[in-house]
Amino acid sequence: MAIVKMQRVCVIGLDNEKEEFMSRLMDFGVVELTDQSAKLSDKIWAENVTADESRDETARLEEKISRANLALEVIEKYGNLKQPLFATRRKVSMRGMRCLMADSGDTIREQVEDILNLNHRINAICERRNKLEQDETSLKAWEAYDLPLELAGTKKTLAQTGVLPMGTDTDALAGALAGQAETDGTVFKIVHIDKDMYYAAILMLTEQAADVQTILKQYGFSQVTFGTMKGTASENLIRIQGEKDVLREEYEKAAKEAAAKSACKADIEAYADMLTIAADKEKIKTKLLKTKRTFFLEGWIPQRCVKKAAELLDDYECYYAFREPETEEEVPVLLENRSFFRPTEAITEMYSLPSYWGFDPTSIYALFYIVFFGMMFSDAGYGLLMAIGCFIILKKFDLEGTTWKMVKLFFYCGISTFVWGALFGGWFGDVVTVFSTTFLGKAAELKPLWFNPLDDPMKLLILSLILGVVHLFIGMGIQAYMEIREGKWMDAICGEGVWYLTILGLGALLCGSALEMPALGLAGKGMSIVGAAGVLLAGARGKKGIGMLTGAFANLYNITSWLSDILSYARLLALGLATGVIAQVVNTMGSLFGGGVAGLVLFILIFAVGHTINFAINMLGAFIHAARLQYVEFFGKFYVDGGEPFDPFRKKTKYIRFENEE
Amino acid sequence: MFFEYIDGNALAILGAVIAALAGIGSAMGVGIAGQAASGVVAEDPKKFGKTIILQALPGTQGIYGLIIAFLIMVKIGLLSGSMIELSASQGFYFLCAGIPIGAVGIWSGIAQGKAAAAALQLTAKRPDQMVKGIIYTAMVETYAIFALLVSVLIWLRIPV
Repeated sequence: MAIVKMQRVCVIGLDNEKEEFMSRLMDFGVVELTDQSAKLSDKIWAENVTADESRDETARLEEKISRANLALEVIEKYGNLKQPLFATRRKVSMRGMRCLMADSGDTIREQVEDILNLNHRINAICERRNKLEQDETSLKAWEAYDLPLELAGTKKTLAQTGVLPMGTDTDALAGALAGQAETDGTVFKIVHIDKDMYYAAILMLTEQAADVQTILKQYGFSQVTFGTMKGTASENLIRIQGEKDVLREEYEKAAKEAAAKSACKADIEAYADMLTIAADKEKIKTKLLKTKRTFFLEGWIPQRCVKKAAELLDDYECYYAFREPETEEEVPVLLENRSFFRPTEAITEMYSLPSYWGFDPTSIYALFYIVFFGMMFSDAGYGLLMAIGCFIILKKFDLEGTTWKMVKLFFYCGISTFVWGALFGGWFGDVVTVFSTTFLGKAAELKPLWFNPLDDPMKLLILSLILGVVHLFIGMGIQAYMEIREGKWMDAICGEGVWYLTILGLGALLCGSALEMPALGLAGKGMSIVGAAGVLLAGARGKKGIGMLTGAFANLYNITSWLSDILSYARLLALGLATGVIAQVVNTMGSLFGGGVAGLVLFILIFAVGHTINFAINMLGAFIHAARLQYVEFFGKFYVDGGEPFDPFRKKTKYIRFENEE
Repeated sequence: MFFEYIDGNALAILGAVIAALAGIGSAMGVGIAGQAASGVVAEDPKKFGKTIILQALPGTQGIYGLIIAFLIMVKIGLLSGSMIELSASQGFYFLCAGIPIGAVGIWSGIAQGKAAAAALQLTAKRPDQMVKGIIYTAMVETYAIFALLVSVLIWLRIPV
């Protein structure tokens, strides 16, 4: 349980068996190889070994992988395939996969190339369409200009088209051109106006061209040409429309072809994964060292796999050695908990893995997480929905890893929510009461199995705080356990023992006065005084002179952080109330329209929308705040984080997984 | 005169109004987070689902305000149409019940919006770390929850 014990393994093997050995090691999938390049800076190592490299092969494989992935993207884009709610990996047998690759590997490669060609074609079509659309927009302005666009003039005249900036006084320009003898043969026409420009066409006598140009320039005229286009603007627009239609047809045809290719999606996925495996096998070699005839590797392996690993190593006549990790060495962390607690690992992993030398509290706080979640969500109807939903997802999808853990955890949380909801009498708020009074005319009520928090919030507040103290005490207990494990008895007593005494004493004192039991109160008083004295002494421990005094009181001041930690659990009450009251608000709003059919329809509508929103918001709230109570209050007492996740050399596939793979 | 109209019932309704003002904080907070969320989605439209969660977080203050406003209105009989005759001091209690969530809601909503915006930046750069951003943002929420608790406890104990 908890953090898996690791062993360090060193192996020297023969080079001619390396390929096969590495394949077996990958199938085995339990050894994390560590990078050995640091050894090469050591003189003795550097004289004898070199790094094992195979960059070219890796690059070649990765090129293929990226092509396959691109092909998959294309299929996904044009195939309109329905995305499942959860991505799952297809189960296949290793044998079947090898056969598939041997029989139809080439066909799949061809398919990939076909799809990439299609993609290329589609891109080219889109590019051309964009160009046409650009032409179209620029020609639209010239639609009224009925001379051929390529016309530059006649024997005696020059034709020009161009634009003038908005705000130009075009009348003055026309007047200036017509008003003097040097330019009076000019025809000046505005063909189109939009919000930025005047579009002007000008016909001038060749002999007057220089003077006309000068005047035009003064008014900010700039010439527009139409490249190689022939015919009038409107003719061109018709041509462009025609070309666009052709392109659209071509595009649709190509897209349809691409969509048809989605039939071979599964094959391409398998192909991509097989390539990934091959590439990983090449890449891992950078972590090995080699001589002319041997290779060397080092890594971490879970202790329970050592025996099997030894058999494998014997098979290949390797020289090998196992050893325990040295103290404070950086060891990769793998969590392993019993089945009920495993889903909660997701919450631990979300925070950060514990250090290998720390403690994995997953199995200890799992129950607290689920209980806290239930208290904060606390509606039997919501809980039932959540549990059933998660159950169906678990049955329907073959989930793995973190997704599986989360869904399973939410399943447990749903049950817990259901239980707390039933205890507090919340079934979609008070829907039974509201519905029966509005539509059936008499008040029915689902009685809470325990009590309604709105009637007696103090009871729930006290329960919340007691749960909080228990939770915090367990956290502190773990810290004490870790210290005792390292033989630091004194630390455990001074750090945790005195606080246990103080807090318990204060608790007893409170209970004593509240329940009018003077004996308990007296005992509590005694305990808390002794505890506080202990806290003072513990603070002064290991300090000198005036430091003793400040240390002692600084330590006693920590009582305030205890207070805030404990009060933080009041959120269990507050968020529980929030769920219930919002649900009631929704029900009341639904009932405002009175009985009758119209009232019922509105009621159902408001019920559906309102409860969906309340469900979403409060589930998120319960999830976050249940996690926060672990992360801030509980972990704060003992947690040592910073573990690197255990990442063994194995088949890291995206779409398929192999049967009997552990 | 104006003050003649201020009786217990008016004070109680004023309490409900103040509680509902917590929505100001949420509106601003959700707005701040929404701006940041748009920036993130502009880079990567696939992150919509992730960003909407972070944007929704500062929205809770408004809901808490609504809860208290609603509770006050129910207790004084405003919703059922026949208001209970309240004394001036009773009305003042209801006013007091509205203030914690109304005041804390406004500022915590804005602050939470800023934290959510930062968390959205985190999500843009490191999508795998989003949950940590959510936790940071939820830390601000704590104080709104406490204010809600104080408001509810006062409301519960007002004799009518």
